[in-house]
Amino acid sequence: MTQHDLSYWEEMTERYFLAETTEEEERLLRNFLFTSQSQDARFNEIRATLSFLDVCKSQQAPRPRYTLRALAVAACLSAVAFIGWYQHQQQDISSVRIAGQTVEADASQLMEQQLAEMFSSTNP
Amino acid sequence: MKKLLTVILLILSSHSVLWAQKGLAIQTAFDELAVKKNATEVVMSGKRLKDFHLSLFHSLEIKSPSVADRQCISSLVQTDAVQAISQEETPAHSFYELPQRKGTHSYILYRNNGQSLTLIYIEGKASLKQIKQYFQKK
Repeated sequence: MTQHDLSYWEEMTERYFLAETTEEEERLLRNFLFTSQSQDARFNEIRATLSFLDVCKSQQAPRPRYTLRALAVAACLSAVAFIGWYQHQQQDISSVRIAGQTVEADASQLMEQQLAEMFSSTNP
Repeated sequence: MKKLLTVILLILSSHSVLWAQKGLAIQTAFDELAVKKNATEVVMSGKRLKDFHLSLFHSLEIKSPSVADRQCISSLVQTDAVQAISQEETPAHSFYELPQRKGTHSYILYRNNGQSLTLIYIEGKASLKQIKQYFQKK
């Protein structure tokens, strides 16, 4: 940063409050306020103002959208995985219950037997 | 988010074989009579039924059924029979084909030979004629 005397920064400060500074000048002014040269009381007001504005700006800054997007993607993937798992579970059900209690038995054999009996006295 | 949840629930419900006969009167028989000591309930779905072009087999067999059991199941079957698009009835058995849902046939088969009573609910692409052919010869 080019060295300027305090009157230069004082004049820029005045222009800042008159809304006559450019964005680049405001950036330089901010940088100047971090230097030891700016510890003069004449710059307390501009320091307080810019600090206040910086704090406001950081609080109003939108939350990163990628976080929300990542959560949405994760939720969708979880849902798809759950549906896949659920369908897989549903696909191959084979159970036999006697008196409401699940028992080890060949469901296929029982099914074939019951259907054979069901159709035993019918015409094809 | 609500839309996503709705879609997920719809997908899940459309694939739930256990709820397949929900909405039919015979669901009551599967729910309430399957716990009886002389009752055998069989549920099958998935790959094992693929060869028969079926997607669900759900049966309830009651040995030595009481008069009340017979009347109860017969009444429930008759309730569902009202919506049947075709039926085959004899004193020993009754077969009902229910209206198709998404190209899937569903059937209620009921048999009462005095000694045992069998109620079967079937879903699949197969016609009743095909189902008979698959199992009658066995």
